[in-house]
Amino acid sequence: MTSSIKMGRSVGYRLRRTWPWLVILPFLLFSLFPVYWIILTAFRPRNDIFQSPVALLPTNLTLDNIRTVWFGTSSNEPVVNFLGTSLFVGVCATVIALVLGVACSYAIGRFRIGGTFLPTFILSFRYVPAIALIVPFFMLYRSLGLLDSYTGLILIYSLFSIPLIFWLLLGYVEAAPRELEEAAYVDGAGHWKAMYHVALPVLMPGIAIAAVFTFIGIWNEFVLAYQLAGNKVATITVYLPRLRTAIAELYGEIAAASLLAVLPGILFAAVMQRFLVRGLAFGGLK
Amino acid sequence: MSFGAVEALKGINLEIPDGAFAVFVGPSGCGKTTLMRVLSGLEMQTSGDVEIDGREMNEATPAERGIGMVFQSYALYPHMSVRENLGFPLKMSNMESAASISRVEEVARILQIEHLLDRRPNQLSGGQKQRVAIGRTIALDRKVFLFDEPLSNLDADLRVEMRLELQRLHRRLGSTMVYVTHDQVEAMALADMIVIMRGGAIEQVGSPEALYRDPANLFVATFLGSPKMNLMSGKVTEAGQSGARFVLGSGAEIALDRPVRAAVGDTVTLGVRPEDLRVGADVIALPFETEMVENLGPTGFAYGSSGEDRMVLQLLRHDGAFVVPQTAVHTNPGAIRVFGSDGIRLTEPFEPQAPESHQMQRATA
Amino acid sequence: MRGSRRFAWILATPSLIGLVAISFVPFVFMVKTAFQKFSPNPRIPPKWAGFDNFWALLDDPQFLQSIGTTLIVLFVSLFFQLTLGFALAWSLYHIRKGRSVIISLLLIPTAIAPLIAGLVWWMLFNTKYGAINSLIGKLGIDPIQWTITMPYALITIIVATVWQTVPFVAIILLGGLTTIPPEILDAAKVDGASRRRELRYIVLPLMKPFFLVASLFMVIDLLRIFEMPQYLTSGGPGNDTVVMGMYLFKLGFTFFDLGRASMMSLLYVLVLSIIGVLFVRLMRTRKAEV
Repeated sequence: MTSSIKMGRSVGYRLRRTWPWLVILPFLLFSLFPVYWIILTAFRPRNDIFQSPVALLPTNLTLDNIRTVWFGTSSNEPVVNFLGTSLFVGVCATVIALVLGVACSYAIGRFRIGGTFLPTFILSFRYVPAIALIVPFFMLYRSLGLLDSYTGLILIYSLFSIPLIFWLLLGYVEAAPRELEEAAYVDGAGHWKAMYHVALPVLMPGIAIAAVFTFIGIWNEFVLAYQLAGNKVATITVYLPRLRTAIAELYGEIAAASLLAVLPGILFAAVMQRFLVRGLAFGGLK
Repeated sequence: MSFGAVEALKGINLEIPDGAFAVFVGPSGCGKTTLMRVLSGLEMQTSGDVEIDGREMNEATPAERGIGMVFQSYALYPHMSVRENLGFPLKMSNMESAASISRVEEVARILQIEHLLDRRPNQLSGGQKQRVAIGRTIALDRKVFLFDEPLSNLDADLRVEMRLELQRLHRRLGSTMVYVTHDQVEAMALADMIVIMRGGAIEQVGSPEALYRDPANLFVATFLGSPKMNLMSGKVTEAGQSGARFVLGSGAEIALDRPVRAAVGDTVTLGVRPEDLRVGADVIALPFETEMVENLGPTGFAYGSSGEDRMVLQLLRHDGAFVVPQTAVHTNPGAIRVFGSDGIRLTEPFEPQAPESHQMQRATA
Repeated sequence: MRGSRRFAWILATPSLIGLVAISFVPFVFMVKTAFQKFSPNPRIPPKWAGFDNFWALLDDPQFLQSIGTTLIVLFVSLFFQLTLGFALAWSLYHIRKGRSVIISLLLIPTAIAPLIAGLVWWMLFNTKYGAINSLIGKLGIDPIQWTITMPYALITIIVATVWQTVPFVAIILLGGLTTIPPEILDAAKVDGASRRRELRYIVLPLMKPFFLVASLFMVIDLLRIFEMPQYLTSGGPGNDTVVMGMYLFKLGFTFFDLGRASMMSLLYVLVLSIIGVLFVRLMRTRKAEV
């Protein structure tokens, strides 16, 4: 069983494939349609929104909805107040969580303290969502007088973010070459200096990713923000449903406020995809 | 990434005769792997035809082409035992299980891996994996075997051993084999037909001997052979039917009694292989200044310069010691190849070209 | 170096104290409350009630229904998450040009707050002014009362869930696919495997651990859904789409039955812990196999 091979008429080659797009494009349409709808509704005048059947393509456009939520009305405060609260709480909690979480990840990833128990303990927090613990947290906060306070909300957010940061950073710490710090020790640096001047700069990409994840997670959070705070300290996620429960349904306003609220997330998706493809799959297998 | 770097191919025309051991060789990115993948049916060409055994195979799947393939990383299925790996192509061809079982054992016997049948790939050594990979390709009767750098993950000793084993396999099966490598030593050792590629095009096709003796251009000349062919820049001072004369950068003069397709005043490159240079009298003398001697045991190399040109010559032992050149090295006109400023060889080949079927023309399209 | 462990403990201790504070303290609170009976009058202190809250939950048709609803949403969504997610991942795996842009776009729903997802789909599924009815109207289908009739209300929750999570699942699975050496897939083709058999015998078996990881993430995610269905169907029609998270919230903060709510929290945490432990076991055996 032998054979001769002939390649004639000038064989050329170029990569080309179409079938994957038959799956990707419809799905992309499904994924983006609601986003499109938010944007469209946010810029649509009331008459066009409340039309049956509603037009699927852009009709008249207006800035009224944006203006209404931005400056507020007699019944609703300006959206900026809530965005501001979300931003303030998010930034404070992210910073605190990073300081704690990075230190903890570095300590455990580099010096292996606590054997296998400690990492397992920290990672197991990922299995228990806030909703499962909201009742005891509410009672705890009520007895501590922390309900509806910036301190209370920032505290719970920062502590709840530590496991996430640990989960994201542990791989980075383990992958960073130990020799760098050892060289610093040989050069006379102590542990603190070696960590600050050598290890942290190397971990910076991971820390940046952890910061973005943490912030977006807090920005989007609802249960804790609603039940442990929500009156004096009200975030954007607490504000949005208020528009829905009003007597008149405020589609345009909801869409306009939602649009402002999803912008950080969209930026996040744009920045994060490179990391996500590999990072999540491997992180998940730990 | 999902696929290895895929290079473009430009106007390939190639015929590999029945039962040949053809080696595609070239630097990385030259298109050799893509050419093999197009041949195998793993990738579809965008133009041109692929024919196997006289049948047009342009749209055929790898299986329909009757092709077996061994991959660089062996590509054993990690979740299957050796037995299941060997049986996989049989299962895919819907062979009944009794026949399949006996065939797997037969293949295992041929390759002496019977004791490994129940292991997983991650429990095998590199050489054992290699055998299983070969076993998987010969489990079904194939017309053509393709090898994609199959030895590059092995250590040096094992590589030599497997090289011999592949040649033995080729002799026993008598099948057409196509082998891709970036290692010119492997190409020289294994091939009876070498296809040298660069930039998606074929540079030259021929037997190892023919390519080594008569490289069609500077690329082929310097690609084959280690250390590389010495190159010297020169100018044509005389050119005619009976021969030509050159003056080199070093001031040396060289006369050839063969015709050279060049005109007086042309800048050319003259090439001479390290083993064609010697210490002691010969027709051509070149100034040489030794800078360093490398002792490799059976042979040695002297590195130095001749005028502006870097040169290396292979040293021979004389009474147990290497003879190192003092001020000059010598060679004869027959060892000199001349290349034009575009790199194309200007002298006629030393021996008649290989048989017609090995032929190939640089694509004009 | 000397003092390394001391240094490490100094770094880790603040986090560990914090984590203990948000786990053991509420856990103790929860366990204590789960076995107490609360009077509607806040001045009367709660009394020890033994397993009363537990039995009361088991007798509570709304509790049982919320579990049923959650499980339906969970299994149907998981089916679509894994199948669509894999189809998407397998497609993304085969393109090179524009892949990163596509992934960025696909990830947008993942980054949107579940609350907003609920609100947007609520608008989209509105009977009179929703885009979905407008869309199907173009195909000649009469308007459907999506969020206020069964089984459509459940479907809307599943659609919104699938919308938010499939890209994430696809990315996890794509990460898994990139760990399969491409040569193995080539080898399967050379060995004569059709596209279908390549998937069945090579790709899917090798992807098992990644399917497991994705499933775990999704199960946990699906067990905690709350604000998305809350603002999409509000549990309606009737209580037909009340999921566990919503019922827990109702028990605690609408009925203010903290005892029963704590008991439900306790069960919640137990179930999640069991899933977590099972998962870790499963991953270990798989790792040992491959």
